[in-house]
Amino acid sequence: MQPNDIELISQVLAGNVREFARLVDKYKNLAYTLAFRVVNNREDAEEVMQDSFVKAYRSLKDFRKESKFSTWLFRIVYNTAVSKKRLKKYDNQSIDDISVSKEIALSREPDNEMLEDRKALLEKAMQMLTEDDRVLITLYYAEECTVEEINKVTGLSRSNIKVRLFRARKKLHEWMATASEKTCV
Amino acid sequence: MEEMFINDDELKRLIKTEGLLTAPPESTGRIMEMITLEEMKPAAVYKPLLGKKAWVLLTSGAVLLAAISWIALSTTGGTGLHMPDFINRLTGNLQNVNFSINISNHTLQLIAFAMANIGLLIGFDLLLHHKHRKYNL
Repeated sequence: MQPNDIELISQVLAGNVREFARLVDKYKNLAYTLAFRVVNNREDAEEVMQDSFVKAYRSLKDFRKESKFSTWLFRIVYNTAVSKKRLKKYDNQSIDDISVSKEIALSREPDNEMLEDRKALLEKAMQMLTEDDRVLITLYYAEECTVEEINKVTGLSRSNIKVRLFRARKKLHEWMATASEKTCV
Repeated sequence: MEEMFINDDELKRLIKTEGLLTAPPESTGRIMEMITLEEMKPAAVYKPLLGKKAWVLLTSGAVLLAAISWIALSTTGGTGLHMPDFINRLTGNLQNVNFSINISNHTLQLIAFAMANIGLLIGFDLLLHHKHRKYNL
């Protein structure tokens, strides 16, 4: 039986540092995705993810177990990514930006072309959204966070989260529906 | 709202399965390396401003000066306090002691006060040293 996050944290705090690798393995993809949704750049997302895990390790003794470890970790990732973005002052990229397709191409596993198309389509649709909306959608759908948990991660108010989620979902649906129609034609 | 999100489950499935990016496979190793390096870094140690010897010396000096000034005041009636007999006897004997340096009682008091403050600060410094023997920056 796999130990849960709290058990793993207890082991790490007891001196079994290696156990932290299991937490990293478990959450690295989500942390990486979340960081990417903010910084919009693969290299920086990787750096943010690494820094966040190191920060989380350093502060592990301060984790009060009142919330889920993932929520706590994603808050660190989100804050680190926002700080990184502020520092680098990223330019807003349009959805036609070549780097987007580059990022998608890099993350491809060339086994199913159709699947890859949907992936690319989704990625383009995500690029239509604002940075905050991308984060909200990722947390809401990928991590299945509740509004309460998203509030803990991003610091946005509950009502703001609900409104933004509604609009972002609407935008995604509309954009993907239009794109699918075009593809079919 | 329901009409608008007929395919919400599909979108959720799509984001869960295809919306997640894959972190580089070597990232776990790199993170663990960074953590191991962090562990190996010597922990910063709080260094007291003065050593234990200096602390003892200064505190003794402060106590001595405080005692001298108090005795000097009490023998001249400056404190206005009624002392127990044995102290009176002691100060009586001390009255016969001639200090080679002529320092006024108030100056002595001031010096003692300053020394006591130094003692307090060094004591606080020592307390910090014990409390934060090791901490990570």
